[in-house]
Amino acid sequence: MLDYLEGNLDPLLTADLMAFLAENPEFEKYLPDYDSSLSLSDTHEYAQKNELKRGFADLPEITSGNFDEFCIAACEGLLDEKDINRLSDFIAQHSDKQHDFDLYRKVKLQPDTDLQYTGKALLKKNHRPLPLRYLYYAMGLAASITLLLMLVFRKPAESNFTVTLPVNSSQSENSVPQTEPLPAPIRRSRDATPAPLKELEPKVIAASNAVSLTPLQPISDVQIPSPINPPRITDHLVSAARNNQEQNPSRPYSSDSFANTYLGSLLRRVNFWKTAETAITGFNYLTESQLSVGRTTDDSGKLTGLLIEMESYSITGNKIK
Amino acid sequence: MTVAEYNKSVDDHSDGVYRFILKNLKNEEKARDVVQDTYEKLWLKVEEISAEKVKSYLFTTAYHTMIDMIRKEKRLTGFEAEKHDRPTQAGHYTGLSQILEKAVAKLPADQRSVIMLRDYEGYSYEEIAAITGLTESQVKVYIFRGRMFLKNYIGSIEAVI
Repeated sequence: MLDYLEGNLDPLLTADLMAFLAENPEFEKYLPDYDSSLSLSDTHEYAQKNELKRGFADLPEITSGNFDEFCIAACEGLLDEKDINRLSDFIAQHSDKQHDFDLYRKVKLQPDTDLQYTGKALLKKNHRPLPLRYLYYAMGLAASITLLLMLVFRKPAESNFTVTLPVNSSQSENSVPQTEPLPAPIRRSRDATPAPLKELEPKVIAASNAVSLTPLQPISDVQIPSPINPPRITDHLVSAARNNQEQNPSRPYSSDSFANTYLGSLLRRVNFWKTAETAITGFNYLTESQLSVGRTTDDSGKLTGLLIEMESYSITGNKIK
Repeated sequence: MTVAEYNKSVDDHSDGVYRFILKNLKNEEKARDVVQDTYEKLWLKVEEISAEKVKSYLFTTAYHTMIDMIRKEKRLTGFEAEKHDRPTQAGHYTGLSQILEKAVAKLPADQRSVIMLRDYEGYSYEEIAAITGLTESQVKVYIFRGRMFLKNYIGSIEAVI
């Protein structure tokens, strides 16, 4: 092709090339004088094709040569009334053709209705299940929204102290002990500021009553109303925060903001160490191994050392002070 | 197409598809495989195919699956599909039906398929052309040639009898 395009191709080879292109027109596009409008593709059709076609009506007469075709067309239902009459007349004139026509009427196949497919129940579908991935999407979306809500919304403020009043003898045994709300919680934060002091106004004594008045005692102490009233300490006084700290000594107390959320409170209730021990038990059961994990803690419950043991080795680690 | 329409197509057309394939392949097990493959393909496209076109889709798919199976067997064995396997439910055929069965089995595959689609299912020439991938003129020619062969076969049998 390059030689042809450069004009260096031998005439005999040029003729071979042209013959090749005639048989493979898809390569004509590489020729510089290629005209796509002249290329013949498979989509080109002769527009007047139907005008060239002929029907049975175009046959001037029925002969022995086209008798079979007429019979088949009659059995197929392709003949109009005029051609059917012509065929009937031909058969009437040639009685030996009646047998052939009858044979053509017999060769139409009849469906064997006794032959049935017995596996229909297996083909049927009960329902169209949703693609499994949609279920994963929905679960992931629900879990994400739940975690987000638990992280955003905070639990209602809890009082730091719960007080249960001692039950009086006059009360029935089944009565619920009454609890009264605390006047004001003791603020452990440093943001508490005392209320401004109130100064007592000097008492004005009328002159007419001066004789009967007794001398005023000097005011030695300024009465400062305390905005904070310490709660009554009873035997039932419980520190909620102290209990929480004792129950989960190993857990570091998280920040107030996260701990006050639903998610934070949920995580506080989870004992991760027990969860890990349970997981290790299951692992040992499935793998028939003897993995064990141990820990050492200090007096405050903080983790100070870790021990991992297997059948053939053990790993210990101590917290770097 | 809904699931209900799909299940209805199983009831309406599975027999016809099975019959058509069995008459062509002469093998019950292979015919069952073709029917199952056909309906599995339909199920994969159940949302794309309407209930009105399901019959033509089934026969088209079954026909092409059958052709693929025949070609594969030809490559493996070098012969045409075995014709000595007879359907197991042969006891109900009459004399003429048995003769026609033998005659149809001797037809070329293309002629056999178009005649079966024409007579068993009542498809038009255009529909048969769509199913088999032939032109309408080719379908007419195959049917004419097939009918002529069957007529001559029956005539020869009668002449012998």
